[in-house]
Amino acid sequence: MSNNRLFLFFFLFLVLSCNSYQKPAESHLPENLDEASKMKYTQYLIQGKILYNTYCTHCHQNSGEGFRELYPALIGSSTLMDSMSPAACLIKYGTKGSKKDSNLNINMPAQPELSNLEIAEILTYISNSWGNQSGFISVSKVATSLVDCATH
Amino acid sequence: MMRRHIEIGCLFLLLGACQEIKTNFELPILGRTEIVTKEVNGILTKDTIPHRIADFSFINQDSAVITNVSFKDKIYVADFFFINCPSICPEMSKQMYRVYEEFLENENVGLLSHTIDPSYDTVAALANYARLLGVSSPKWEFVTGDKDQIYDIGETSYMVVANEDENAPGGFIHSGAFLLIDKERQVRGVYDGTIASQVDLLMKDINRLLSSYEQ
Repeated sequence: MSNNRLFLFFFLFLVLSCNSYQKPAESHLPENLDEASKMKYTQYLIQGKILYNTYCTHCHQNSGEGFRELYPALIGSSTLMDSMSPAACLIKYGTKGSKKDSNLNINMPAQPELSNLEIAEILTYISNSWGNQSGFISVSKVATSLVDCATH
Repeated sequence: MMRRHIEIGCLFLLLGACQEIKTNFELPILGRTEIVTKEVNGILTKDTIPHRIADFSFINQDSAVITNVSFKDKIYVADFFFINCPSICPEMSKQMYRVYEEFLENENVGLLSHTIDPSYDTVAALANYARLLGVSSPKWEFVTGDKDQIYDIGETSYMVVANEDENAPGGFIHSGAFLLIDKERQVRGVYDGTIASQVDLLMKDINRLLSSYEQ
């Protein structure tokens, strides 16, 4: 009995530890990465997915498809792919923090409580999932992007 | 032993039969009925007044006045939302849009979304919201108006929570309920507008209610 239980725990542990290195199925991971970068990249994708499901999925939907014209799709989004800076600013400060005339759209809420790391994880996930392929977004890239949000 | 099995089998058959009947039941009339005493020909009699949606007057996304008369001879689905709602409203809009598409061609069915943030959700903002959603009146009315009037009709007529609350996401606390209202202005169903299966049920109930008027 106790042997069985031990085996079960061991099995669960194995399954769980496998999972933690499994990137989300909808995400893309470049092949020519060394083991360390691959692990970091994967962690960002996993963590980014969790954060995405908490903060973004209500509007942008589970697979980044958006809804009607109310909530823009993230799949193939030029705002997201062309340069990461406006996207980082949008996540942190919402549309109210942007200079762009947003009268024609509804406001995107600010999420000031998100850290640079969390924003980097979200950006890495959304710009490398559902067919998007923009590569790894680092914390320092987010930090630089957030410096001059008011000019976007 | 065998007999026992047969008995149990019969019981299940009976239960199954009940289930069969249940799919055809009439929708309940929700809300508290009021009992008033009045004098008729010098005799005190008791009269029951069913719960009905009170008279209302709001402004829709096209600046037109929308009242209870606008929904005369229609059954309608009502909800409470606000544009800058970060939590449940996007899902509510998505689910209400399903109802919109399903009954687009049926002029006996209307939709009525009240904003609970009228200071921000002006007529222009609601018009913009409807445009981005790709819907139009009179099928789907987005209405704004006097804040207290909206909260009051929400609580007393539709029996849902709608109020300001600085601790809630977006600054308002409100229910995600969809209310099904019949042609007699009675509440016939309450559904969670954030759950697809509940909205499936709502759409079935709309058809059921519609067919009750055809008989």
